[in-house]
Amino acid sequence: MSGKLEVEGREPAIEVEGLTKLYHRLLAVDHLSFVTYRGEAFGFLGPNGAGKSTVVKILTGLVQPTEGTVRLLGRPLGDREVRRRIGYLPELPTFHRWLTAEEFLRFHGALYGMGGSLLRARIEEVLALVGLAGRERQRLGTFSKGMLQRIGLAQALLNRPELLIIDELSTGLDPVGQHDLRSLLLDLKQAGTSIFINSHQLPDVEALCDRVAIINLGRILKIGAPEELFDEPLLVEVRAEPLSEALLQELARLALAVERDQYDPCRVLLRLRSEEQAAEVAEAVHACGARLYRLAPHRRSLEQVFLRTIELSRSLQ
Amino acid sequence: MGWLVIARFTIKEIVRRRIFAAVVVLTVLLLGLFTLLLNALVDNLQRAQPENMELLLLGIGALMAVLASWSVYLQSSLMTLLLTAGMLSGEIEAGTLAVIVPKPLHRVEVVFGKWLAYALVLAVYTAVLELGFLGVIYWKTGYWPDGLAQALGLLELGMLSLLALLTAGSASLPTLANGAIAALLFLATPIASFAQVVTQITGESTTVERIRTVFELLMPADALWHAASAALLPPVAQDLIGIRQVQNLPIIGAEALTPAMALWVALYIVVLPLLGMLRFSHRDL
Repeated sequence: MSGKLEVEGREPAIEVEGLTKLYHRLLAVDHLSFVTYRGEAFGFLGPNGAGKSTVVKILTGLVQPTEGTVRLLGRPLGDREVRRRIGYLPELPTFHRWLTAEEFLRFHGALYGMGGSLLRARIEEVLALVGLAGRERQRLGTFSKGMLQRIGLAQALLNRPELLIIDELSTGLDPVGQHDLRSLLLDLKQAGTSIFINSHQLPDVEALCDRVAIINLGRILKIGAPEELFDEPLLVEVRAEPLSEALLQELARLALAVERDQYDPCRVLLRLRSEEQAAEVAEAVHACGARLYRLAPHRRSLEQVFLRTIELSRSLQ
Repeated sequence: MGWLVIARFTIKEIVRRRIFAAVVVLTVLLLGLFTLLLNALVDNLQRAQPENMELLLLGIGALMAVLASWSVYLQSSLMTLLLTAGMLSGEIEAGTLAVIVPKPLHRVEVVFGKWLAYALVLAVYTAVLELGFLGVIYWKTGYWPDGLAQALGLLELGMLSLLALLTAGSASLPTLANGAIAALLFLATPIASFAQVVTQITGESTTVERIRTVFELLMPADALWHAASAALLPPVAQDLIGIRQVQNLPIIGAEALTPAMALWVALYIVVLPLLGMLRFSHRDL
């Protein structure tokens, strides 16, 4: 399935066309195509070995593609100027442990061509942003996994990137750390930073991403806004009293399917075409003289969509 | 100027590594021991009050200059091997390059910056060590080799040739394999040189000579050392030892570098790092 989706009038951040990567005889990425847009947070989901990290490594110039074209912020892959505008946080980052946090950021700032008082000020700023203020003089060798993840993000933010590429955000972070970094990324997105996030952590993707691609065996299986991926009718739980025959008939007229709960005579599950129909259900309950105690959509989580998509793709092999 | 950032960073890294500190401490100790040894030798000699004391001291000085320089050559080579076998491969294996390579710099700059930093540090180390030993020799014996500049240049070229091989290897091979290959080639040439001396005594030596030439082409450090030792020993001392007849002994040589070999060394030192840069530019990390 081609994941390419052109949206008129929107400027692309990442354009991938026919991307293929062959490691000797192993096809890691198979003619992959997709576009992400400026200001968009794009999630890349897939099981281990799906080809996600290979795509990220190609985007960041660590791995050479076998075939296909990639453009970042409108420029070809490898363009030095475009690299000044990109930030990258690798999965389980390994840094020079003998450096202090400040030395580490000064080195990476220098690689971006930054220096002097501007760099000093920016280092203070990014350390505060990732929650490491006051750790300037601490050696990276004494940092915990979560702190290394944070300092990794700090180096990726040094140049105020227009495009931020993240390979697994929450590895090594505690729940508070995960929440803080998610909030930080939401702020960056609101400020206009384009984000490409490759993750196993579905809550990260669900909370952050405007669009998501599900990838397996080097191919995109599904791509779209998270809500678009819920392509099945909406399941709504209704609890009303009394649940008369007239009300059941009215609900059956509105819904695609009605399923009664054999243990609770007041509870029924409806399959609706859209969320808007939920209001009509409430009106029908009131019109039939019943009291509405519960009207709750049973939305499938992104995790369920992800697992089902992967399962489906495996069964089709 | 990404290469300059990488070079500065690498120098800082080398200086902060424990191995560098250990080598510096051991070198100072070695230099101290050498001073004590030479001091004892000269004192003993002075107590004996031989007739031609001045000439004898110069002879000892010349011999010591060669032996000390040989030790400098070995130490400098060992340091090159230990520090640079993982110059790129070590960082690839550790994953530290994953945040450096995506920055706005060409991969060639990463290799060049690292190569430059190691070349500078090792060149300074070699020069300081050589001048340190020769300074002690001059202090105790009054001997100062006329061909010092040439000898030091050849010692530095020996270090650079080993660095060139390790740079190219580090871009393609794992650290251990790279170090092992360089160490084997480094040791093979003096062994071939020793075998040649033995066969010269026993008779036919053409085959061994050819083997030695092949090894010298693969790793010219030993040929450069022999030329350095020839520059350190004045002709009169060479005649005294009798080395002029055999041209080369395993440690001491009387042959200057031939123009063909000098050209080969120049190519070797330039082309191998370039091959390393080319390989590193196209490999997956």
